[in-house]
Amino acid sequence: MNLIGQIVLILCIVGAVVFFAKEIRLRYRLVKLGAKGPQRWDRPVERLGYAVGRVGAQICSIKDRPLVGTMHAFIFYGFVFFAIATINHVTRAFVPEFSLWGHGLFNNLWFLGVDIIAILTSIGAIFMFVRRYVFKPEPITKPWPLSRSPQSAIVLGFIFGLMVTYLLNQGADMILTGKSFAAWMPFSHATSTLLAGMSIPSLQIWNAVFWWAHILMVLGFLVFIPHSKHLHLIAGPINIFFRTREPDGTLQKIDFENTEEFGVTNVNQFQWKNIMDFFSCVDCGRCQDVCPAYASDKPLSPKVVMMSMRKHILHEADHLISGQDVSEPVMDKWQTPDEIWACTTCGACMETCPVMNEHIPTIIELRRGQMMMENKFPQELEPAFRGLETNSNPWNLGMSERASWTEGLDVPIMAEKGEAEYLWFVGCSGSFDDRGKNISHAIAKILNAAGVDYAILGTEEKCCGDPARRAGNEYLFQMMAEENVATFKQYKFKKILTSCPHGYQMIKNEYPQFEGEFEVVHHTELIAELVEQGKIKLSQNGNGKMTFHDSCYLGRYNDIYEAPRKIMKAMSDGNLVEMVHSKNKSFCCGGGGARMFMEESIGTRINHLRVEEAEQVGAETIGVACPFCMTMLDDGVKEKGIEENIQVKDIAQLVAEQIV
Amino acid sequence: MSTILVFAEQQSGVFKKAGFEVVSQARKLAEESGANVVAVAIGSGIEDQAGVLGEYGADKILLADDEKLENYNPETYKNVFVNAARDTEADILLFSATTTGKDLAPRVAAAMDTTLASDCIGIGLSDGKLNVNRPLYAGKVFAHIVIEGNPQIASLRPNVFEAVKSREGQNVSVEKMELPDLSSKINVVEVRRSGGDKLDVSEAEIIVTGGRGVRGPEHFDIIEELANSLGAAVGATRAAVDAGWRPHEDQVGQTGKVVSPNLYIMCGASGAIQHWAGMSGSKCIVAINKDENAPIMKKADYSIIGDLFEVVPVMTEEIKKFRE
Repeated sequence: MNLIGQIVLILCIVGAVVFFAKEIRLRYRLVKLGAKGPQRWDRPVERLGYAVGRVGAQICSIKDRPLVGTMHAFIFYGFVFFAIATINHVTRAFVPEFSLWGHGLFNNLWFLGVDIIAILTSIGAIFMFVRRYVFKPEPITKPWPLSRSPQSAIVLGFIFGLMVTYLLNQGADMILTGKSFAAWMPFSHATSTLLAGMSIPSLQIWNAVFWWAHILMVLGFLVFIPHSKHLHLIAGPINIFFRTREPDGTLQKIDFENTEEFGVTNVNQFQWKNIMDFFSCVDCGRCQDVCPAYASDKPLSPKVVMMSMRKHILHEADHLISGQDVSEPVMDKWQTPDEIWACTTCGACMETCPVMNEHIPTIIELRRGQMMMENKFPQELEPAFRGLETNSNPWNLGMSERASWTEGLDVPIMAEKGEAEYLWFVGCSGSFDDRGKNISHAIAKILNAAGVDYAILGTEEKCCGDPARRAGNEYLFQMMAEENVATFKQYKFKKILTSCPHGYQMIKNEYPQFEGEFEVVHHTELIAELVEQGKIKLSQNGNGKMTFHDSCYLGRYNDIYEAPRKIMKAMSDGNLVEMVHSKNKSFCCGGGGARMFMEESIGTRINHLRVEEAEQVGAETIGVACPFCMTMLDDGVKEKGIEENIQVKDIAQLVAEQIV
Repeated sequence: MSTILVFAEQQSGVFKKAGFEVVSQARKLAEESGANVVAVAIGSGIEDQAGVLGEYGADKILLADDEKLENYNPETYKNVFVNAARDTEADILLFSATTTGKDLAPRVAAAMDTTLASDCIGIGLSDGKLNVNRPLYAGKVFAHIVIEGNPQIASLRPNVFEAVKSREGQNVSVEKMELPDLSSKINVVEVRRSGGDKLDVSEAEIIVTGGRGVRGPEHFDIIEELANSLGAAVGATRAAVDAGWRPHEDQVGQTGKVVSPNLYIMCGASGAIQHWAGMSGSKCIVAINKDENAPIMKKADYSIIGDLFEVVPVMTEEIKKFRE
């Protein structure tokens, strides 16, 4: 290449790199300006290994969408190969015949690889284009108009163009240099046959055009990346490195002593990791696709939360960088109350997210801001909070009645016993709600039958605080948590048994924030153990075709999938089926995230959708392991008027009925 | 002779039962101590009706009747009442703990720099001092309070004390008060009531509630008929409201209204906890349900096992007969 060409090339490269670096730096600074949070540098080697493995093997994109993920993998490997190929490509402008690997067999293999990858990547780009613009799948094209952007067309055009110009350039090169790599570069060779008719001078011109077009597209892409969702190329892997190592959906403690502002009302109050999430989002809509709120026509989409916050923070970038106040609060322009209060905190979004974004903490931070700073929240929550404050249960029923469900049963109380192997935390539903009390009766019967050494707290027990915490009323939650931890510590026991997955999550994963570290088991785990040890024997199925509904807080939050299935299998006589959504893909009942205590007046009902899934597989019994799921699904069955066909029962109830 | 001054609340020109309850209770206290009962009636166009307060035991009625006093205004009502209290040199001031009373009583107490016990469910006198009983912690404990200060102020919980016409047919003097300046920073532009003239469940003494068992909006007429025969409000469970059979303002329960009427009749409702949380404070609960295992059947004071479509019309008929 002549000197002018070389100078132009250097100017283009410097310009593109400077522009790219400037935009990346801006985003880096915005992340750094985020409020402090856990730094997440613990176990760096493990984190790095996990990120490299997950990205390198493309598990992130293939796991929930195998076909699309495979196409994505083609493009991903295209990027990896071409990042290296571009070094060759550019260096040849200065050193003709340059090759990173010399000119031996490895070089030949390398070019064979690039040739194949170029074709696979082209296929991937065409596939993605057709998918997005012909088939228009909802997760990536809705909601309108936020998801409508020419970005993807531009990027796919770039990718396709890069591959085509590469192959054409190589093909022209083959003719001009007279070197045939036909065996090693079959696809480039194919293009050379297309170009074979041209005269040498015009071929020389075309060769230069292909070369420049390729390099300019590479540089154009570089400039484009920071502005688009394709920032995930850089931010995604880093975000996976900084993934949370706690169970999904576990919330952070607010230190009330040393904090002036609680939650997020302005975008500058988000923690660095929240902001990192916004920039990592790929807009792929997998979260939206699995969101029960979105599926039931609520205005919430986790994807939109991420996209909208990203837009908002870039909109405020000048203010934030210069240290000024933000020009407007997050609510109601960038997020609406109906969106943030629709979340059931089921965690399906976080489970599926390819870049491991943490949607729930972001939504809860917004709820906290609305709850504790703005005093704006759905008014139905007020009686529940008052109930927690005065009577330690969300229904505000007399706290002296908390142990009344034990009347006529032989259930030991800790205050009288002082010591037991299991401290059974019954929970509010199990103590006050009739449907919950039936579950408690069943568990008591099982524990007594198996001779388990246990005791309950009775009137000393208080709500675990889950509805308060998930609604953003952190202060009220902390009251409950501290009081419960203090009560637990008065007694000697080995493990805490919970009959509600919400209590399980709180005590196991969130009470350690209040110096309460306890070993916790859910009743399905204990029952499974008792069945396995032969301490209780079960008769066979009297409940027809059965299915198990995974509770979000038991399954996705705490990975307990097998214990409840083992029990159901043991008494189902082989008549156990799975619903279309099960295990880590389970579909929420609609009662989590304090939704249990709010009205569901927008769209359709989440519990109806779930009941319909049970109907589809012909289930006659839905086994549940959570009192909230019990209420939601039992109501769903009754509202749909199919209580003659389907019964909803806690696994403990099924077991208690079939103990022999 | 000491004076007990009572705020006789009216709404839209009609005196409220809650006001009669307080006047009646003041009369009882007066019988013990020989005090004078003076009722203060504030409103617009209420002169003709004010006399009825005498039948409930007022010795004298102070009337503040002015167009500007038509709707409750915290500022002007407070000024009028404080004037009345100063003029009569009353040593006990009584209110009803209605929404209005709960707003007005503390303002009067603050203006007169004295003490208030609100939402009392028991009241008596000893050595000229008010002794009251008020529930705390949602009724878990009761506080016995002797009120210090002058005057002593208390507000009485509605529906707890009886309204008794102890002096039926008696005429007492209605004296027009000299009114203070009625200009105010607060200007009531419009009063909007939801549900028109319908009796609101949160104020009703009797509520008839329909649940999922009513099976459709068209069947609510039998619930409404029963309610009419009793002068009751119609309530609904979440299931009935969610199904679109009844408006949300009728909903009783955790996410609706919390009520404590004297009589609560549940038709075709199971009494799930979310509903129970909103009505468990009712004094007498009657449940009508086909399913004898419905949770409410054990909790209700009276349970009628039967099809509501058979039971409710019979009840309505019998109540009508009884009333005639």
